[in-house]
Amino acid sequence: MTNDLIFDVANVTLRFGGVTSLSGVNLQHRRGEILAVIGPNGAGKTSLFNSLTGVYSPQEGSITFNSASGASTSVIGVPPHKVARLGIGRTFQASRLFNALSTFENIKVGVEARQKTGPIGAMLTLPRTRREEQHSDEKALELLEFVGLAHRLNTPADSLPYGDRRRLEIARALGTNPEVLLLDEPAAGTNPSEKLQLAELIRKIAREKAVSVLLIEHDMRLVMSLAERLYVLNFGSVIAEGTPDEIRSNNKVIDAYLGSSDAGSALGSSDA
Amino acid sequence: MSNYIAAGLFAGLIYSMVALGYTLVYGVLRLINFAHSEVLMSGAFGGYFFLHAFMKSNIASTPTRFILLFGAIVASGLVGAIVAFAVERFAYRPLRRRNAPKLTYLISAIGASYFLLNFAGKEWGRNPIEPPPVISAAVQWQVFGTHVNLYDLVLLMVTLVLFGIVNWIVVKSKMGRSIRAVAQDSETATLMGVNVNSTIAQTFAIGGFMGGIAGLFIGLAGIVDYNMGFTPALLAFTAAVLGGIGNIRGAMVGGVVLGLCMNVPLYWLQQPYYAPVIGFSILVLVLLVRPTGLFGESLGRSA
Amino acid sequence: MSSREPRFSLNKEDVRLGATCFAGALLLAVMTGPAGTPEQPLGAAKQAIFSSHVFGFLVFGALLASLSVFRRKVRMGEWHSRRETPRRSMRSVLGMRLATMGASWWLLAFVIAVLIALLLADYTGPYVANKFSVAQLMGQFHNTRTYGYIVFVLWIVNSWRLRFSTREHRVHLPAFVKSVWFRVVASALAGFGFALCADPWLPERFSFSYFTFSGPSTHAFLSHLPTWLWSLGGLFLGARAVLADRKTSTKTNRLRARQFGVSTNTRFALYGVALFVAFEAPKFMSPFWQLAIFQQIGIFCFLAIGLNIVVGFAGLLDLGYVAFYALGAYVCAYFSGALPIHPPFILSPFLSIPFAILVCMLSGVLLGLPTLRLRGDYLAIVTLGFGEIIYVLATNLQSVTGGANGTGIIPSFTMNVPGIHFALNGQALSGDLNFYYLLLVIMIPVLLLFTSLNNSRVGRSWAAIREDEVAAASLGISGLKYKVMAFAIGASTSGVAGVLISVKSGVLFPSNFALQVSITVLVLVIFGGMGSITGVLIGSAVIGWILQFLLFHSFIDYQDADKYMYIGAMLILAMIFRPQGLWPSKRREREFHDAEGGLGSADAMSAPSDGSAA
Repeated sequence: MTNDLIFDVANVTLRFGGVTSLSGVNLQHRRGEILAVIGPNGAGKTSLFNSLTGVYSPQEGSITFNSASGASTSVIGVPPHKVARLGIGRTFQASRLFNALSTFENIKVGVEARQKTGPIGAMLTLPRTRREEQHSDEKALELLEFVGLAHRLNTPADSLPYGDRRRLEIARALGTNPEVLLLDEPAAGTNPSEKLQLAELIRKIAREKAVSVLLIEHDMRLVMSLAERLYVLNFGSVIAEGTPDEIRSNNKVIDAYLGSSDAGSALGSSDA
Repeated sequence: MSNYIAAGLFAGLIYSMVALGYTLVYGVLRLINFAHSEVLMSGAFGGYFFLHAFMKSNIASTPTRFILLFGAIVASGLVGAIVAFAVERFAYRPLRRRNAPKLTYLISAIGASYFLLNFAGKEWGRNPIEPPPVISAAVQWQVFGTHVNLYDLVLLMVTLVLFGIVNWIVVKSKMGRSIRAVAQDSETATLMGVNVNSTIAQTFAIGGFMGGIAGLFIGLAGIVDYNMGFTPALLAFTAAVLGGIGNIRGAMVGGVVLGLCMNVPLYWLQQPYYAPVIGFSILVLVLLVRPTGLFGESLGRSA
Repeated sequence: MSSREPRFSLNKEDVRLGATCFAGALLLAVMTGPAGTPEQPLGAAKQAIFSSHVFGFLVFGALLASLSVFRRKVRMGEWHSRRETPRRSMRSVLGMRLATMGASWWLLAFVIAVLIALLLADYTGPYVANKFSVAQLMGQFHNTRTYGYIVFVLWIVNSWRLRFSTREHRVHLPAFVKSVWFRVVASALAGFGFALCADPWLPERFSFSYFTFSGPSTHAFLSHLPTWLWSLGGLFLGARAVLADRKTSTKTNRLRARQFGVSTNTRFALYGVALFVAFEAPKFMSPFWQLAIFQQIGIFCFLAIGLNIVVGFAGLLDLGYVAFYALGAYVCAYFSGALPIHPPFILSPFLSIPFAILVCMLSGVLLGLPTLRLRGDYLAIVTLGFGEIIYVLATNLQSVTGGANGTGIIPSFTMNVPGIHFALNGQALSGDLNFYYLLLVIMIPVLLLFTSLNNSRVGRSWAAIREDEVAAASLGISGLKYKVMAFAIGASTSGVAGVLISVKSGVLFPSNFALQVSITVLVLVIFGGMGSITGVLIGSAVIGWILQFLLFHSFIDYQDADKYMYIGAMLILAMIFRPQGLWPSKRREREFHDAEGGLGSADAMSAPSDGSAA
């Protein structure tokens, strides 16, 4: 029987020198769920992400990733590329595409990260290499269509508009066949109509690809409409957890956001 | 045995002087200055030409010799500083203006190194030359069962004085403050009104001054040659890494430790050409075990 | 704005630019001037500047200064160029013109193409006193290779035309041209034709008496093994192209075609020309250039394509490349029994190649694993040290390597398998030429292998690591693994080159493997264009040519050791003005451009995220 929780984060504490970035964070991410982590700037959201993907190693606590095959793995201390191979895909706050490669090639790099062809196979173009190449071509095209970038196939990534860069980054992460996708502020810097498209895309990923999504986002309206459950971080610890409605009426959350310009209005406006 | 320790110690002093140049440049630019070996070489040539021009006969009186030696040290330091400054000006700054990737800096520094190396070879011949004996080899003392001659003493004093001065510059002076600021965060330093370009140039010049003097001492101990800089510079880089690159104290200690590590085993091996092999193995070992070196990195914090 | 006449005024920047050019010219004069002595430190420089030697350089400096000031003014918008229309590239204008040409223009184009081919054939032909006389040019029609050039020139022109032509301009070919059989047979015939035009064993002038199955080796074209090999090769390529056409879906096929800057057709034409020239031209060169090509450019090319994997593909800086070259050479010497230590069994040099690959790959991995976990610049210095250590050991370990006196004699290269009897110093061609063709035969497959490597998963992973190692790791790509892979592949290529050079020179001296070789090879890669195999080959040819040219001309006081001075200067200038190289790969060029704009990086110099160093 597979575990119902895809990520089980228990009592994670992360320190840098004397600064405590995360303290005693608990988080449960259910399989197939769209989960959001919100919080003011500097609350430790990205640190949490980096701990989940092996970039940082927290000093205390445990992070367990339960894959669909039933295997449970601790993520702490595992280098990022091995974490990625477990089935954890991510995007970055400032999108980090391979700018000199075309859109198509960007996704191919993602797809091919899981393939087996070594240098000798690649040099001699052995049958397996050819099969894998064919497969990655098809998969990349499929993903391009999935995120709606098929018309930008050969555009180099550095000349894509901002919203397209975001979608390409998601598609690239999807190329690795992840079980869970970690999105670090996917809507940052996009315009309202792009935001709508993006929300639709994230829902589609959860629904059609059966990928669990863990999301950091500043845009409250987007988060409230998208997430099934939320965690609120402040000063490195979880101050609230629940459905969007519960969060909206949580006094602690409102306190934490008071003073920060977008919070009150964002929380209020999402009632509409 | 004590002979080998003494040899290691004094070789180590030279390495630490050269290592300082690497460390300073690394501290501000996060780059290895591959052209530093040619700074040594040009310093040695500077000192040689000075002595050649002013020391007409081998039998000068002792005070005259000391004045000449002092002059040669200053001359070699100045030539080293000028060459280091020129390297920064022509091989680094045009790239910095364009915000070029790191690989290009390394390559252009190697280009500068090769240019200077062979330019010197062409202009001053490719045969090794012996500098005039400005320091008499006859004066010797017996310390702990080994001979220490005047050369060693002068080297020790010069190194200590120079390290004192550089440490003062970096820690106390205004110039040092801007150097440390650039080392920590050059963008913020710019915002604070530090002229990053001139600070970097000054850093190169300070390192070049030390490197040039080290070159002179290498030359005085043996020969002056167009490719004399290469091996000492490589070993000095090892010393810098050993002490923690980007760290001034680390350069000093790393140099001495390296000198000892390289020379003491020769007591058993008896083959001088193993010294660079040992030095190189130490480099790989340090990188493997403790890449941040003995004292840790960062110029900004160390001082 | 546009109505105002441009005024001539110089500001501080212009003066500085001019002064720099002028100083550069003076420096060049000193560089090319006489060698000096330590007795007079400034003597040589004085002699160079205060003699007639300097005048040419001064004129050059003045020209350069005015040109660069002019360029700057135009760029800054202070002076307008006369055309206000946006600049169209000459290539596209000419291409458009070609695409819409009528029949009479075609005739003219054909004549011009033939003329170009004649000139090419003449220029690369044997030395005569008056190369470009009419009779000499017309005489080229007697040579088979001229027809090869004609075909290639027309091919290039046509592929160029096709690139710019729209559908209505396209010529409709008869249907049978598109059939599979026609294409396969045509490619086999093309191979045969190539053999006829480029076969180095044929005499220069064509006669029908070649087409015999027996007789002297210079005449029995049809009994010649290469003839049939070329035809078979053509057949194979044609069949493969047809098969590939059928198999791949049109969509991905189109994709692949568009990833390259030029069309597939043009690319093949260019490759064809390169292959053709590589095969037929060296035969007619003067002995001086033959030596240059075989001894320098050939082996340079081989070394450079190996280093290109490390520097160009993986974005690492390897300065101890020569160490692996030496290792390969000494492995070969060891197995041929030329060293003081004796091997368990004696192998022919050819069979020691796998051992050389193995040894170099292993030492590459051993050296790379610890250092590649760290910052990229540490790799540079560690490899630098490694190169020096290998050199020191080769010089001093007399009992193992023979020391500075060199090894014993390494037997010449022979191969006797059914059908191929090859000896380095035998048969119709001189030893140098034989070595050249051996090199070519080994190099062409290596080129193909490396090209497909770069276009594969591995190559894309390298590109990803170069640009953003953190992002690559987030996809599951291990930076360390791919860097070590590149390093080891580069090392083993260098080892093979070492075997070849030891076979060629017969005796090895440690001085053949001084550090300068590494730097020279680095220059070839940088100058040609990192990451572009074509570029690297061009770079090797150009630099090799420049170095030989310098040896040739007496207005320069030049000793062989001075070449590194020019090489160093070229490295700096290349990094300042054209870091992407002469013929960059599209990917690499874009990377440099992005990196300068603050997007990603163009090298793998940062500490990898999976390394031990934080």
